[in-house]
Amino acid sequence: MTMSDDTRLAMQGTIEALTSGDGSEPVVVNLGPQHPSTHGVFRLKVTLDGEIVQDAEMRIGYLHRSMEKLAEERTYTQNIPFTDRIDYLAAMSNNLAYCLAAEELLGVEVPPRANAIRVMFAELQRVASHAMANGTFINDCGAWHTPLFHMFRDRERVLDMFEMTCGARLTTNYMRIGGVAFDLPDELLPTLEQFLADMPENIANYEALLLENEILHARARGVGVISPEMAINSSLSGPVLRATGVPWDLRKANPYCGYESYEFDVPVGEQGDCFDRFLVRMAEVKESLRILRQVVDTLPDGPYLADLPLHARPEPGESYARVESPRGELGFYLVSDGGPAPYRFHCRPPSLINLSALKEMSIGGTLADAIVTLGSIDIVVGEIDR
Amino acid sequence: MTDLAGIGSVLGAWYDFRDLNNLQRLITEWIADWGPDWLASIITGVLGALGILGVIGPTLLILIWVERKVIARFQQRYGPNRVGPKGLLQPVADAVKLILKEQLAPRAADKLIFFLPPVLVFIPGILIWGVLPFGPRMSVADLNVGVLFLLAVSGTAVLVLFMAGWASNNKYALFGAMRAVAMSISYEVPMVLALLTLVVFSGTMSINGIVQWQQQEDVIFILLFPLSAIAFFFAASAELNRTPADISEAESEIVAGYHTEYSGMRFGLFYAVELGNTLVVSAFIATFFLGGWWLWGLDQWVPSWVILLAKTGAVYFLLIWTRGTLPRLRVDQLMGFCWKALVPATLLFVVVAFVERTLLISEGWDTTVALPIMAVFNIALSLGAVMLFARVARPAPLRRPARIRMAGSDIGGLNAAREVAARREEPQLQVGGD
Amino acid sequence: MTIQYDATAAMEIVNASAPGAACVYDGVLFLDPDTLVESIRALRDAEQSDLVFLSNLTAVDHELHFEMVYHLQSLDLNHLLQAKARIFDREDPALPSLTGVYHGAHLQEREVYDLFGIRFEGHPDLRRMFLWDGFPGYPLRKDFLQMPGQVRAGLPGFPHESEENSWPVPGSVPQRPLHPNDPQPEGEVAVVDESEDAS
Repeated sequence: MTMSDDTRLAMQGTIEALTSGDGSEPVVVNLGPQHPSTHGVFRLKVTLDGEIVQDAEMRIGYLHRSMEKLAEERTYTQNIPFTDRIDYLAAMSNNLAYCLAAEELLGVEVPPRANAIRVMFAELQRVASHAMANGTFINDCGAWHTPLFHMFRDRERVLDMFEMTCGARLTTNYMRIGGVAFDLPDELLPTLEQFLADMPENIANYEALLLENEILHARARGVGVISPEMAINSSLSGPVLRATGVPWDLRKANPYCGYESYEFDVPVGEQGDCFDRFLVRMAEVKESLRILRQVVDTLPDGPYLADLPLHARPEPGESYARVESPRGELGFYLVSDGGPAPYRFHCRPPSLINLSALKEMSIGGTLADAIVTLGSIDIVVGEIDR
Repeated sequence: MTDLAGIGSVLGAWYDFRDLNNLQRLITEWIADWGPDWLASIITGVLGALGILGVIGPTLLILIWVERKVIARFQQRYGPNRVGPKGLLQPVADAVKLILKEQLAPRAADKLIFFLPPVLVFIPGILIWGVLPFGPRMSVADLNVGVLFLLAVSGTAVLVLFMAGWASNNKYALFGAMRAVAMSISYEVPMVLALLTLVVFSGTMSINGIVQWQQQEDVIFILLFPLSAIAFFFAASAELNRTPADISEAESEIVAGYHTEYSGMRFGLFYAVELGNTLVVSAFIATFFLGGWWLWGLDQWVPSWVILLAKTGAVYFLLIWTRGTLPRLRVDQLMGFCWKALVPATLLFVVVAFVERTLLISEGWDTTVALPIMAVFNIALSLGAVMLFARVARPAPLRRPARIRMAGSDIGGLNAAREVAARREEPQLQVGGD
Repeated sequence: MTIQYDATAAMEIVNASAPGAACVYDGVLFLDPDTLVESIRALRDAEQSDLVFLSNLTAVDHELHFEMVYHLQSLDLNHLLQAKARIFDREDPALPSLTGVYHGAHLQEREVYDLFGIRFEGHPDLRRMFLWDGFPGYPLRKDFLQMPGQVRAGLPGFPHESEENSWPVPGSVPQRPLHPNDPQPEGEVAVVDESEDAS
């Protein structure tokens, strides 16, 4: 029996690998772009020694829609729907950040009722987004979808409120330059009251199910740890930064939309591990409910949209506005040349920048830890790729 | 009592529905009248096999519905409710869909070895049913080494999983297969030790003998050896690849493990066998630790297989419950739990069983007095062992509590972080820790 | 809203170590590209500026030059500084990388390299991020898919901006740029055909 050259070479390679050194070589595994726990088309290329991650490298761009280029061809108002599609799980926050940047360029004064409505929807969006983030995080820890579906129930109610206000559930396109697109419908406030009344019990249920769960502790404690110094140097923001103990929240530090008039607190973690990120999100939901309560109680009357000509051309200049989106510091940098469309439209995507330290968090842990870490960072691929 | 036991058998025993084995015995005797012995063996064997297959097939279809429905209720959903009454025909529709689907095989797969596992995986799954006693005389093969047969057959299943993972030529599949092999080998040890406890204590390796011992002594083994029962339950759920031990097909990590590359009915066969194994393991847990077909005299009134089925259902519900509630452990944690917790605990109870058996037999203690005392002692010992493990073997990161503090007016960077961390007041939230 | 850090104060910090490395023009801090890393490191480490957090990093194509925009944030002192650096070489734009100062610059610089083609010297892993290797051109440059004539990219005017100048009226506003793959306007094609016939 003769042996083909290929086979002989392959055998030689195997024999050499077995006789030299310890006879093992690392395995490269591509997690994604189609994978149950990458939350979209995201590829994590991990080099494994057994189950231990030696190197983690992300490959992105599968959802790149060139929004920054497209936005240069559309007027300031026409660009608002793009921002929905940047982070489709927190469309309201994206709308808000973009409108703040455009208002800074145009010098528009936003009426108080519009500001209150904006805060209301930004916080509702935070509740919905954190429900999704925590639910999928527990799923990444291996639960059989039960916490996810319970949290989806809350998210569903928030989306229903979005739908009754602006007709859309995910890509809301609700904020406008100078206010919001529609006034609140009559049925919104009773629905919101009921939601606020029901949520404490639901949160107590989640806490009873999850907080003392030994398996969850074993999976998430001490995993994906990052120090506060490294987190700041890596430009991490949002719950990922706050879980390391750094109390940085733009709603407190640089209040916008009248956040300074509401009473709320900023929860911070201690260890900077995955479990702290989960706890910070749970605590933030409660704070959001506190803000919502105050917004409902102090909702002012008046116009919901500033009187702004449809064809307003901003003066040449630039603006950089940031909001605390559920995922972190979301900024929009706009440059105007005096034309009807932005000369440059740039989004500072918290999902992408929070991945800066993914490699450092993953190396040395197991493959399962890398998945949990990725889940705890809470990425949205639409925002990473834009 | 003897009169009550004879209610069903007015003209002899053959149509006594409480023990279907009577029917088989009648056929055997009828054939023995005119034919050779081997013919009777073959015919009864075939009848038994057909009986088991006839039970398993429809049960699997119903189980899929039950599992989906129960999990759905855990998750505040309705579950399948469109196909047929209450969605009962949903599994049929699924099966039809799977049969009609294209069967893909990766180009680089080892074709023969890739084709075989979905077929081979049925063999241990079906064989195990043979030694399960549905009633006093109602099992296809009442082996006097039934426990050994059970362990030997269930151990072969892992070979099939490894074949599937290896032949797929897929890294996820290979990971799943390697995990399955590692886990299966590890968790067989506490499983064997847990059963060894029963074998030592009851003095028989026949499965029916173990049930009859429980009947005779009026006690179920879970009361005598609770930690062995829990160890067996957990080890079995690990062997079954169910959460919290489903690492060999961990969806969020390695997609579907060893059956990642299987599509259509090939996947369906894996799925069916997995469910079938879950059922048979529930039945064996019910048999070994919950008294099997016997239930404090109720078996005189109700067919024994109904009792077994009810107990199996209860254990099965417990398996669904754990699956619906718990997250998954990591590979190293699962192995650590096996070797550091389950093996010592089950080993301890093998020793305890030896000592207690010696006291009963050699010292001639009265069982009616001794067994309750032993039960209380063993339960206390189990609790002590669990608490000792929780105290000693906890990993370091879990010993500190996780705390959430409120920043209050300290907003900023590292300086503010230091100030918040240095506060003396109670944190907002504190969970875990020793 | 955001509290801005005084550009003049920042300039003084930078110039204290490297005279002439920074200047302020129209309230905006401009940094010398050659000493960019040292300047930014000085701004990060100086106690009064404390700009430890790289909030944003992006580029703008101003047609004659590229402008790198850095938004640096101090967390403890809570102020934001906008710093800029200009690159005039359009053929091979290059700038020192900030990855040694801020780990968070890693991905953002890769993004700028991908979409603007600005090389960051000293970046450990400078590859295209969203687009694939070998993608022709850099999409966010204004001359990407260069249009014929004097048509520049961007939106020329609002639709229906005024009654007498409704949009689009042929000839009133420049024609919208065409993609090379789009069918050419019929008139132009006819002209080309005639000239070919004549020759």
